[in-house]
Amino acid sequence: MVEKGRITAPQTEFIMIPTIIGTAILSIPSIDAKFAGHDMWMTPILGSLIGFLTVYIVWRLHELYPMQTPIEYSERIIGKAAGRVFGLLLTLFYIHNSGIIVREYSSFISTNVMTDTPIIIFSITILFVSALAVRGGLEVIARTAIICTTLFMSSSVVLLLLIKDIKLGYLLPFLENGLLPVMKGTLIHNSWFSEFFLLAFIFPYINNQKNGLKSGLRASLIVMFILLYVNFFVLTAIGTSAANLFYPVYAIIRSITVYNFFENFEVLITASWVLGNFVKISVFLYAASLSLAQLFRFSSYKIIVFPLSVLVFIFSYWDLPNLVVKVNYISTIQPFYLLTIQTIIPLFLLGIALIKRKRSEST
Amino acid sequence: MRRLPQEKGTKGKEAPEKNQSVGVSLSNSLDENVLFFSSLYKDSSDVVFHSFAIGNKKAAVVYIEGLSDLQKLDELVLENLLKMTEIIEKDFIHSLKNTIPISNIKKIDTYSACSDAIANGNPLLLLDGLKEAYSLGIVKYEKRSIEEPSAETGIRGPREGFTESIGVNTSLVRRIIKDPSLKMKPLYVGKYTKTKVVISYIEGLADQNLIQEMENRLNRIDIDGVLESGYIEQFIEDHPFSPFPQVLYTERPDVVSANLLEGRAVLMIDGTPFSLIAPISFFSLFQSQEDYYERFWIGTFIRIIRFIFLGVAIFLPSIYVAITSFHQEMLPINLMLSIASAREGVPFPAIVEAFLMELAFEALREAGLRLPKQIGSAVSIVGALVIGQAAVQAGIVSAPMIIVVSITGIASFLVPRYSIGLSIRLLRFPIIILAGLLGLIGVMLALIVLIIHLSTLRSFDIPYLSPINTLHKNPMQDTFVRFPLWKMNFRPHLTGNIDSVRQGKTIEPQPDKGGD
Repeated sequence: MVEKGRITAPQTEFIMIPTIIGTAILSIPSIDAKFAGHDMWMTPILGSLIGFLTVYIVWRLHELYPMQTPIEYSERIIGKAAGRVFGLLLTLFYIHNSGIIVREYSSFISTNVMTDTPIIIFSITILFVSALAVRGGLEVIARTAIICTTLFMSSSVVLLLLIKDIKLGYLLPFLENGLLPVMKGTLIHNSWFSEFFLLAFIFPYINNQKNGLKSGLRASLIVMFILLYVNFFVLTAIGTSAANLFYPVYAIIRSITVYNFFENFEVLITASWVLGNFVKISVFLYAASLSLAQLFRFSSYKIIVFPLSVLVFIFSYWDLPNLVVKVNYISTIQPFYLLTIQTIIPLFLLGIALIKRKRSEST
Repeated sequence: MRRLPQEKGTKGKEAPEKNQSVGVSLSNSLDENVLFFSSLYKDSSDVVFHSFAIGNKKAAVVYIEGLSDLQKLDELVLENLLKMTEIIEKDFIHSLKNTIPISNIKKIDTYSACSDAIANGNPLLLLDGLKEAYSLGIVKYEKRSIEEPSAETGIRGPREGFTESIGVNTSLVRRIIKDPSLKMKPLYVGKYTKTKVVISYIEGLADQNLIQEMENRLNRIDIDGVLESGYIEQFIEDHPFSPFPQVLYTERPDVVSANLLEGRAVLMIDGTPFSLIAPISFFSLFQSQEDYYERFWIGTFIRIIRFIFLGVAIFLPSIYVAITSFHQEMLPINLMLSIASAREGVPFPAIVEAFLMELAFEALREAGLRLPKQIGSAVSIVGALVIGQAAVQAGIVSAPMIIVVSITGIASFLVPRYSIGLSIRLLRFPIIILAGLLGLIGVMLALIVLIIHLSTLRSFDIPYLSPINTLHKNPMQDTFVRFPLWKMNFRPHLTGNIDSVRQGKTIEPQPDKGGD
């Protein structure tokens, strides 16, 4: 067994929540406002359906092939050659995606917080600390995530200070242009919610296997509520002009002032987002290293973590020259890319596996 | 236990030997035996050989001056022995026990056991024609009396502290926990010092694997001497390179008893008032005995204050450096203006300033610690004057920096356990450097690395950050908050889930409901 650590079901929730929200809170609201406009508040609710579906698919696959990751069971479902091709695809997918997440984080920091420092410094440092955590194994990621996630989540309370400034009028007109804009916004959320497929790399290592599904679904629900909460405040605070900002959440938090003294809450938020993104990058890096190690039958993934993070670093700059290209990628390519690999292909895998199971039972 | 016991034999069960006399039996002849011991203890003026005769048999007593009760030796032993007229060689120990009014007489028959008995202060009685010797349990040596523990003072609570004598220490614990399930397993560590180490635990509460693991780790120690509990601590740790203490030390019997009752193992070491407690978690270092003796509101409040100031002690100087050098816009304008005007004439960048002041503060603290008390006050006066006033007036450092350093200093004293305070002092410096390089992001990265490191640590297989990151429910009642004592119904199951019920369920104090 490549991963020896065991974690508990509640720890899984703590891992998965920032894994979805970490970058979602940075990138989604702006694109969402562009697509869904006044109706952006409801997109997380519809988007989360994909989350629940993905968790369920992963869970069923896990039930059919317990103690195995997608790399292992895909070979058993669709045959050795095809399974390995899928494994390779998945590995490259996670390496590529880790790169994009690192880039999202680094761009945010370098455009908002540390404008004079070269952007690569942030990528290198966050990759280094994530690699440290991944080298410690899943147990260490889980334990670290608990503290990081708690701090990350508790900072979002700050948004409540906006209550006196919100204008509920921004919520109207309801469904102005029909459902299509909402569906477009939902698609963006879908791409993030499909990342729940990462649970496939965590379920085999949970202590109390029975609670896996429940905690996966609960994590999905919590993520939905948080995105709903964030979207609601973005919309009601600045309306659809959020579409013109790269980081609307950061912008609205900047505008908070209480008694003209308690201000600059963006410090808190930035600090907590570093923690959230750290968890997210660690989990992606863990998935990438684990699948690479299993693909090539290594006895441990821990030695390839650092070389792999160099590769991730390269991926984070490859083909993404600037923020505008990145936003374009997120709003046009990413939903289909992420959904295909993390939800649709696994759905087919599950279908084939179930048919196979039925056939072997009937004969 | 995760670590398998290392195969190294059972050395250490018995005191390690340095001469070849291991297991060699005593000789038949008294002269030969005396000759052996006098050659063993040659050039040792404190070893006394006293020869006499019982009836017609030659006899000798060997002891070390100052370790045995001479009055008892004279009045109880020699007087009665000299009265004996004949000796029944068969089963002599019986007649000895019937003659000498001492409760602890042991028959020993090897040279090594004899020298151990002598070294521990038991006078040795040797007789001609017998292949055995008798150790007489009349140990008496000078020791410090029981005093109030000076390193762990408190307002409320017992005033007794451990002393350097292990017999006194075990008795202090025994006096608190009277149940016979309290066990004290002796071991001897150190080639030359042969220090007695007692593993104490409560049978049925402590995990047997833990005790076994503790024994294995102690048996693995192969050093020449144990001078303080720190020697043992550094040899039984899980992660020797970590700056964090993985074993708790205390000199209070009440703290030891509380930990025994929670299923932990306690090591008591001869020659030091400090006992070691394992396994611990990071949060054990923030529990002080008075949290439990005072009302739970107060205990909870003080504990939260401690955690807040833990953050201050580690991060305040680095956050100050980060904000003044990178993120000036993050402060409210008025505050920023006053800091900027204070820093106007200062020639150093904030990171250098912070480093200088922190170093100076560490130097002051260390100087005050080691000096005799009479000079110590002079150091603090000079330090306060030079650093507090003159440096600011001369424009070398800014006044806000002084405030930051002093708050940090006070914050690091807030932790009830000195050993974690030391780690915090050490960690501050690399974090200041990171803050100077990467600003707030550097501070956050440092925090992440710190959390990763703490998450990797284990103390005797217990995750160091438990119960926070293992999400166990019961020990949570005693981590950030301190639940009322009548609510803490379960033991923190850090050490296996053995006998987890601590007390009855419905014992919430309330007035009698009978009448009105």
